[in-house]
Amino acid sequence: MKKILSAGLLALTVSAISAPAEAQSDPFGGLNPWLDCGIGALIFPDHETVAAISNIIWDLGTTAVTSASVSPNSCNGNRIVAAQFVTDSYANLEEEIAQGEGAHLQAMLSLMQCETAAQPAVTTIRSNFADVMGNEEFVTLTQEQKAEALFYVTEAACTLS
Amino acid sequence: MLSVLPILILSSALIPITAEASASPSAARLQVLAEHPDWQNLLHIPKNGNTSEIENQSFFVADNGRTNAHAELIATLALFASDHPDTADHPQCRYPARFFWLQNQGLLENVAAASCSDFKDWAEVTRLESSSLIFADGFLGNPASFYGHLLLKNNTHADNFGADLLNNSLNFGASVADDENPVVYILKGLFGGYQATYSASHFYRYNLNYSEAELRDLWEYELNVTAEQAYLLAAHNWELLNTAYTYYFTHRNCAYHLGRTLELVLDEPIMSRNEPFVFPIAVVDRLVDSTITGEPAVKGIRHIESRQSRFRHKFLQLTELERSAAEEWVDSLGLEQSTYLNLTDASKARVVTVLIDYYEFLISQNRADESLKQLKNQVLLARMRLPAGAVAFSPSAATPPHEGMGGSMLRPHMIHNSEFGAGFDFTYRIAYYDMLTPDAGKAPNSALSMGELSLRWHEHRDIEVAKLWAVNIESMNINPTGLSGDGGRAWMLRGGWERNYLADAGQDLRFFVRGGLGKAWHVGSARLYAMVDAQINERDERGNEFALMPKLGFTYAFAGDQSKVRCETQFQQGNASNQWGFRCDARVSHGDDWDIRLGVAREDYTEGYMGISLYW
Repeated sequence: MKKILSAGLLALTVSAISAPAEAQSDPFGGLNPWLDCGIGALIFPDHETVAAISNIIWDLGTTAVTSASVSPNSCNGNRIVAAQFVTDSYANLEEEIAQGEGAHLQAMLSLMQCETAAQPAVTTIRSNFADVMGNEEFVTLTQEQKAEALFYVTEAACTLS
Repeated sequence: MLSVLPILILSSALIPITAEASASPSAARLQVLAEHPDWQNLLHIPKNGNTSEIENQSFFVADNGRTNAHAELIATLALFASDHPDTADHPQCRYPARFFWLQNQGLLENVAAASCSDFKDWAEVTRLESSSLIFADGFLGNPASFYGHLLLKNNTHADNFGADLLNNSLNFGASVADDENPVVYILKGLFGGYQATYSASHFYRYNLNYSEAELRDLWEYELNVTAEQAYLLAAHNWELLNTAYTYYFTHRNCAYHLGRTLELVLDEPIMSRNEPFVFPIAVVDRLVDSTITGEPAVKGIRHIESRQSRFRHKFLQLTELERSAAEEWVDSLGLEQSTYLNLTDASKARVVTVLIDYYEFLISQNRADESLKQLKNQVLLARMRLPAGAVAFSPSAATPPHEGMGGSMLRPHMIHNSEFGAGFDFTYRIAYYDMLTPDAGKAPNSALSMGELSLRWHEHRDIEVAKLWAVNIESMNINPTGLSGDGGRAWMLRGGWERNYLADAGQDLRFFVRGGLGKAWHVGSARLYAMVDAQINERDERGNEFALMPKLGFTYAFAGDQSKVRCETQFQQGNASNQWGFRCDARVSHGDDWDIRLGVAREDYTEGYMGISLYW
């Protein structure tokens, strides 16, 4: 599955923000964290009954969450950490953006070094990301693609605020 | 201690690395230090022991460091005193806690601090403020874990923007292959077939795993540590990332090893190396009862609700009109109905906030269902059309798990049986709780026991094993909201050996496995359930090897859970007349670590009992 934004979604995302389009097409200086750094959403264990029964007494140090991510040296750095956070925490982030505040939203802005302009940025993100989410294509995207769109919207909002 | 930390932090980038140890300590001084509890804790040598529980030689400097704390001390001092390039492999970077502690003992004062940027970035030492023990509770209705789990978390300044989710946390776990066979998994877990290690990650990842995916409430117990003690603990946590252990599910698990790690800052040890079973809640209990430099060890408790807890907790705070609007929204698959449209913006925000949690809870149960994601998206868009701002819901008033009963139990009780006369029963349970145990720290309306042994004596029978349940799990996952997908299933699983003193054909000790499935719901304060149990067992005197046993029952709590009763009637296929039997069990009263039980049961014979339970 291709994890970078489709051309349609990129256009959709860019149309929702007022930053120059070229700023969004190369946000990592040639590095796409979702494609080049293998950033993926956390993979959770299956919670069907059989799994529950087989695991019930084995949690004293055996429960694990796995990640699809790999991290070559070139993929270190704050923006990559931010991209991973946005991908992992996407469900919480979309909720807190809808609400206009929340701990995950604060953490994302902190990782993207947007603390000082947080309040105006949140207002912009909320407005612009509502436009992105309202597109029919949006619900068909993977979590990684939604996170990527949110990342671009946030970066643009922080740049402008 | 207070003056050391700033020097350590500030000097690292300024002073070239030239080792010049202070005057060599005397042999007597070294002996005292080698036997110091802190040094023994840094090496994870248990009290009254002389061998470290850390098994990989790479953790030790001296060849015999694992078994000789004195030799490890001498070798460590020599290592720190010698010259090393200022790289990430510098000894101070591998052993920051040892270096910090030794400097605090007045040693190595003239040894310049290495940069150790990897460690300092990881521990965020300039912002480090405290440490927390995180308890993840069990949840019977859905996720993969019942007994709980523990984590350690480094805390940076609380006012730091969005800091808590990004704090580093330490986890302890067995290294298990993803495709491990379940039977092999169980056997290797019990008998030391796995190696265990520590791992670290941002707290948000553990929060996602436990509270969002596995729907387990988290309880954060913040330690009453100084910044220096928090540094020592964080530095030691860093050291622990290079340690390995043999994993035993029962007694060398996350609870034991994190408990041992906490001893580094506690005034007295809380773990014993001879305990056959160690459970996370026991470590939490002991921590709460402990002290750090003479003060209570815990200075604050925070409840982090699971996704399901948040959803239910908020839903039950909605007004009747708001609940109706939420139900209509769900029933109409996201169409905004008149009830919703006529609400104020504040009420609309409350409704959609609850629905966001509801749909995300459902998604956590079925991540492949795209329609649920569509429905959640609709609710999010509805929320975005409303004014921004947090919606007011009252905080959770759940009882912290350490206020619940202990994990292990001893229950002597007197019996009178219509066939066998007076008798005495002595029951011991390794863990954990039954349906009548108070709800604090456990999944409500549930039972989970492992290793429950009863010995019974009657006047005309010898002392005999009445039962040995390997496992007993019961879950009445009540649906408190009435919304589709929010619980409602009842199930049970029990296996082991038992006699049935109520049936004329059941008095020999027989192996059995019983499973049941049904539905549970609430009517006012009562919890009702209807189930069908299926059992296979060793052939009894009447030739029974298989039974289908429907049952109906209820539980009811009195006086804020001070007392609780459970009654049920069940078709008993194995008794003389294949009749419906019944039993009622009650917890009459309880304290912090005891309760009084009584009950009555009837099948072919009738029996009553009364006794006291002791928990620890």
